[in-house]
Amino acid sequence: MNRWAEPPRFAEFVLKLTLPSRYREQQIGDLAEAFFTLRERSSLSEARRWFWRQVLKSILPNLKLSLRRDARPQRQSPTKTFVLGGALVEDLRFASRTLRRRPLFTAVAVLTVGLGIGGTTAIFSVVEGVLLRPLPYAQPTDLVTVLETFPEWRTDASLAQGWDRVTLDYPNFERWRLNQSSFQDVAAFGSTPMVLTGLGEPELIPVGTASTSLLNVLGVRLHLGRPFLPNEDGREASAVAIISHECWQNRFAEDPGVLEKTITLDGRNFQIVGVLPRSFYLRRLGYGADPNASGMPLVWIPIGIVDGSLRAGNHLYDGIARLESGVSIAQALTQTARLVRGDLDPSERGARLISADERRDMEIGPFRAPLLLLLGASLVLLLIASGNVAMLSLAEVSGRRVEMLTRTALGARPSRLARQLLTESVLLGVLGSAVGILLTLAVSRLLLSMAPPFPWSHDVRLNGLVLSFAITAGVVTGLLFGLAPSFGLSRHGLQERPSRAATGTGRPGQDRLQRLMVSLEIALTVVLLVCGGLLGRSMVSLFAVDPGFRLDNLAEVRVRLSRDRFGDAETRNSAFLEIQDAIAAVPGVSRASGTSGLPFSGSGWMSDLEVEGREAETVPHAHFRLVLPGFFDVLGIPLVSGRVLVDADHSAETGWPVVISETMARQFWPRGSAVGGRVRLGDGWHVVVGIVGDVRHESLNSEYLPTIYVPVRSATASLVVRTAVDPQHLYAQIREAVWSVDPSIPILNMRTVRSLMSETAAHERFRTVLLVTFAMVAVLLGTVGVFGVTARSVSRRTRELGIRLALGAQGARLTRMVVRRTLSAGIVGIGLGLPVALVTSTLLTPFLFGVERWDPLTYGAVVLLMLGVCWLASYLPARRTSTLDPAKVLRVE
Amino acid sequence: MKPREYLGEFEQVVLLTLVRLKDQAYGMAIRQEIADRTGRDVGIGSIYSALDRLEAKGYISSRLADPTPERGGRAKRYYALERAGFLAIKRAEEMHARLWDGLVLDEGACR
Repeated sequence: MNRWAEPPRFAEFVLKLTLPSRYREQQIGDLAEAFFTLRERSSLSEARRWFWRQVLKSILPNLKLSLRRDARPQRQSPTKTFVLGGALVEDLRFASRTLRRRPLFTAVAVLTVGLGIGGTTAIFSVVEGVLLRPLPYAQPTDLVTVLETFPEWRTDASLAQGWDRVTLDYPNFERWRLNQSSFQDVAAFGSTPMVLTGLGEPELIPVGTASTSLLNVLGVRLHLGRPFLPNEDGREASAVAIISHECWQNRFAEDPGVLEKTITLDGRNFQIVGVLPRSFYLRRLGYGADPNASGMPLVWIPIGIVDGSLRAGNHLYDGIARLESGVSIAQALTQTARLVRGDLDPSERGARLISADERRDMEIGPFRAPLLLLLGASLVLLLIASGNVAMLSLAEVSGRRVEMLTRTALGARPSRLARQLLTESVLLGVLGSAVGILLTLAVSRLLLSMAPPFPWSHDVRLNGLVLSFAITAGVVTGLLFGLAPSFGLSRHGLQERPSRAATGTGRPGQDRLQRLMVSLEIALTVVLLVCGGLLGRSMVSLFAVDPGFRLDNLAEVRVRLSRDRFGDAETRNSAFLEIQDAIAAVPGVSRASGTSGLPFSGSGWMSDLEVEGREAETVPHAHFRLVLPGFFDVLGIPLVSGRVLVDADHSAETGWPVVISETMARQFWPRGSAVGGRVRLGDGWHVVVGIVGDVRHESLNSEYLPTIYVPVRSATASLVVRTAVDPQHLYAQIREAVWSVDPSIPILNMRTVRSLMSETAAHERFRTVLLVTFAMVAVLLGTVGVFGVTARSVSRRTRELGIRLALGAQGARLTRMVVRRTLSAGIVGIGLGLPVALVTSTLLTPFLFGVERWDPLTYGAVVLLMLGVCWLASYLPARRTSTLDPAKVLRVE
Repeated sequence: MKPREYLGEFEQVVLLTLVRLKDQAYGMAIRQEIADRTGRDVGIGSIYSALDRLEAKGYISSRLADPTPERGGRAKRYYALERAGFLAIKRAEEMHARLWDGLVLDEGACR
């Protein structure tokens, strides 16, 4: 081996790229010195390895160093400046002329790039709106959310998660508001579902309840009208409302006279006094899967209107406050903790302060990773698209060989030609951006309407940042796919004679470059396909989960019996039971029941209880479900032991028995049977008479909850109907049945339980659909790429193939030969893609359900699919070789 | 210089190595000395990054020396401790001393 071998050139080049000029000499010198020493002492290969390791380790710190250098004023005067002079304009003009001369190539390239950029930009616009947008409040850093802590909850497994995020009740808020001095102003807000009438069908909507100070604390200026006045909340609250921008747009058609109007909630009229700006965003943290109850409020009303909203112990409100200048969060916390829970022993008092940024992070936490994943996938797609265009322009350039050589002969330098080609491809990229932006405009609306609701997505739009992203993507893509042809040009272009260039015989260098790009493209496609496949497989296994009851022909009916019409509880209950009977009598309905917490409906609650004979350190908690007669029968929940509830149980005034779930029986009666055991539920002791099967409640991938079923004969949250046919065919009759009791009862929801279940997996399904779509587009682009390369290589080698045929080669063998070349590139790509996919799939692990990230079935299917696609895409164009007429081919010469 | 600026751990390592190497302190020598003394195999880029930061703070200064053949004809940059750097490292030493003052660290200190 050469004793004087130099340090690896490419490593040096990488180092040079990352280094600021000030340290370039010294650092490379340092490494060279050590390299030579090491080479003397041990071996050349050891020295090379060491050199590479050093370079790789130094890339990040060096980049940081470069950024730091650039930010600081430079002491050295600039020696070279890049002149944006006449040459660039000239290049651009020439580029646009050449592109116009080849409309088909230009159109295909622009559309391909546009497709990639459109997808990426659409996803980025969501990322920008949700993750990157500054908070829509004045000086958001001074804003804090104030919540209570319940230290005693920390010891209970089911409560510990939320112990430091308990909402305030009104008396605590009042005490804090009146006595605090750490904040400029404080506010409280909550949300509650109310029935909106008078604007189309009656509808249950989330309504925000706010202290009148809310908008002042947030520093939000109204789009129209005035904020709440200081005396409009509390015990003498006024019936005024501020509506959201969305409500104003969708329900009032942006009527500027809306301030003259009223809005009817739960049968009561509220005077509209203001319209919020479009950017406004505020909703309760966390709780509840039901968007009707906990989504972003459409209407805001003052605290104090809704019954019970001022009562002690009703923890309904998030506190929100603006720090006094000069007061630290720690100081504010000490004072707040003392005030917010003044009713408690000082040792137990506690408050939690959450900054505005932290609050948003808590809201979007679960959405961040999937969004970034989709952005990554769309970038891979863009890369594949630009690979296709690169191959296309490579072929174009070889077609323009004569032009290039002529220009060289007239004195153009290779670098000048390369620059010309780069300008052309950047121009193509920018045109692609334009198409991409148009595509985004069309697609992002559709994307958002298909997407299940998620936080902070209310104001996603194409703003300056998104536009500049799209344009940058176009320029970078253009540079990327322009590099290949200009590289090819400077490497091979100029050593050839014009005659050879004109006839276009096969040239190994360009061919190799093209096949390399095919391999890379196929590799990326494999990665996307594997990710899409894994997500698809987990969707399938998610929907294969047994919910614990029969989903078919089961529907939920929700009605609202308002207080103003059905006054006291007794009237309400009897009306409700009447409705149940009326629905059960509809032909096609086999039975109807009701419950406070239908699976997948997002409703239900949890409470503490006492288990007889059980001694444990923590207070046991269970999920409570009030059920009407026939509940287990209607849902098809199997009885495990004991008996189910009978009509007499539902009618009993006191001492009624309960039924519990298997998980609850196992948890609280680990030894012996739970049947015959007793629980205390606040009002007295109740015997467990039966154990029923477990039911998935929140979603198909949620844990089983310890559940207790309590027999009632009163109004519950939902009615549930088992039908003999598809329940959707019976909706009209069911509606009639409800209205036969009282025609003014609003029917809020009529949905199949299957659709409720499917909604609990809406986010999973949405991202799976998107990723699979990306993967499919990638396969399409990959196919086009392989097809194009094979077709071009056949047409370029027509003469050679013709000679072979003339010399007696068989057509089929020639076809096989051509196919083999591209197919081998495809196989290399698959081989390259599989390990990359395996590594990438670690990112997917949190989203996988019931499938391992190395799932052999997925990988096997992807390999087979890609092999098939590569074979087909190369066989179709290659088939032409067997039909060549050698005589004709050679006559062309 | 700001009155209360504390040195990072790696900055301390680099400054102390600088003191030890006296007039022989240049990139690769510093890297080698740190590797020998602490067993940390640091990338040369990190060394320069720290040196650059320290120089910007006025703790050290640098000068270019002539190119030598064993470096492929490339120049060397030597570093030297400045007064501010001396004070900073002194302060770090005193802080350490105060933290350790009267402490006996034995197995009983941990759970």
